[in-house]
Amino acid sequence: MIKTQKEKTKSRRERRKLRFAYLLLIPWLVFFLVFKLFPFVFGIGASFTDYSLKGAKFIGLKNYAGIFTDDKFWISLRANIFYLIIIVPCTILFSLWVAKILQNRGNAFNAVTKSVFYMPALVCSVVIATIWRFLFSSTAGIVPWIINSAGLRSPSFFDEPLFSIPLMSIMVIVGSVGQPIILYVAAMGNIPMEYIEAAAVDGATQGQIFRKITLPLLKPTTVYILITSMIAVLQIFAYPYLLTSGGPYHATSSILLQLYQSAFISGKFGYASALGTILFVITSVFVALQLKFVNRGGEDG
Amino acid sequence: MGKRKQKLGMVTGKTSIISMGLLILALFVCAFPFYVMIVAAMAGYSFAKFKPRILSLLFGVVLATMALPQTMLLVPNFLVAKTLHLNNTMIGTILTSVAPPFGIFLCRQFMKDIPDELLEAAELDGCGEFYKFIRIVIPLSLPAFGALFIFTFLGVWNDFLWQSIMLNSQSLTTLAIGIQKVTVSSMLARYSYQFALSFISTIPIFIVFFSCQKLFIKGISSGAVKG
Repeated sequence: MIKTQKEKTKSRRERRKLRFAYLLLIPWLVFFLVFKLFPFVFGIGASFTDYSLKGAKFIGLKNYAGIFTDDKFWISLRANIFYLIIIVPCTILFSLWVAKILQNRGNAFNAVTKSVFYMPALVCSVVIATIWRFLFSSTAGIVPWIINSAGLRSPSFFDEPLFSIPLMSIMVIVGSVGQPIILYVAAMGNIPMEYIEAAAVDGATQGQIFRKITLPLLKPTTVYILITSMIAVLQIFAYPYLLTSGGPYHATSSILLQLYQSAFISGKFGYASALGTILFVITSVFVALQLKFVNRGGEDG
Repeated sequence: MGKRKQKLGMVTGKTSIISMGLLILALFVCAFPFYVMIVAAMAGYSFAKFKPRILSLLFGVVLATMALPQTMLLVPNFLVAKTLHLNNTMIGTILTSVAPPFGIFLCRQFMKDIPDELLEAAELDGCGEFYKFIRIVIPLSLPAFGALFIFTFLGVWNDFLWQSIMLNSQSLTTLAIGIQKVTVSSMLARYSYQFALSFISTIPIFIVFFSCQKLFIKGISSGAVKG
């Protein structure tokens, strides 16, 4: 097809525009290749070797076999799952509740509340760990001191998994309700008032309106929060590391902590890469299951 | 008043390594978000305003990156950084997050909303691609940049894990590591020092947060709700 002069210049201009677009992508591409794609492939590859400071040798599935037969792994995984079960539902329910309350208040109140709930996320985890240690440490904490002074024997909060896991879960929840609240409030604001008014006219109660109209319309937001929370909780590191070092024989540990210990304390990079790959697979499976479950119309949480 | 001043002096005196780390970190951390903004803005604009399908594919890759857990990349990134001789440098602590997928996502969502007519009008007036980007897109995307600034600042300021992996020498320490040494890892229960230090460490973050608060909240909601 013979192009006219006008069409030729036009397509030349289009190509020049596109060249600009591709040019703009170069920084991202460089960083993506160097720090995301290559490490990803490298990590998987390293998991099949016994990579350490002394060098690497291909050892096949030995790392994985070692991991699956190691008690530490299963205990840490169990702790991770506890965190997951406690943190994710509580975060969603709590932020939903707060967002519901905020729905009917003025702008100033909303802004203040959102900021207040977001603030813990701004504070370094080390600082939060310090505060809670101050409160609950069995050697120098306030709460055990109060309990002991009252004559009862206070439990050692950070040494017994029964107490330390919920405690650390609360620390995480406090820090992670900020974003869901903001998202829920924004999403609720997008629900057209007509739906709610129509339902009210038809005689629905507040509770029914919430359950039958608001919640289903919030589903995309809930799914997003669910998935991002899950991914985040599967990577808990700071609080177990700082407060319990994994707890009494890894009972409060997490997989990331295991990875950190095997990589940077024991120097077994191959083993650690295998742990990382396993965690990646677990995360992907959870997320995939979540998406499937949600798309079939199940309830959230 | 005298006693309090004295205590504060003792904190900063005793923890001089930490205050040095604080200064370095502050200077560094303030510059870093700007690099991030540049990279994210560029990538975001490409994904937002240009049509080829390969760009949609690449954007899908960016989204997939968001789901990639840090865990998976921790050890390999460390080894890569070590090979590039970036371990034990300040640059190493931030280099892996210069192109955050969330930042690109945010910029792209925001830039998509810039009316095409505006850009076409500029083009008719003889504006080249480069000028369009600098003169129109960037000024209009400032709210997204504000949110991005806070996120990046937060990420670097509080990122305890990666910093403790990267920095091993005595002279180079960051705030989070410094606090950890004085508080959670210390055997002495010198709560007055610990809390003074903790409080000082949160002041910069709160200043940044409260000054860009509205932008920040807008940024979070626009980033995810439209997704």
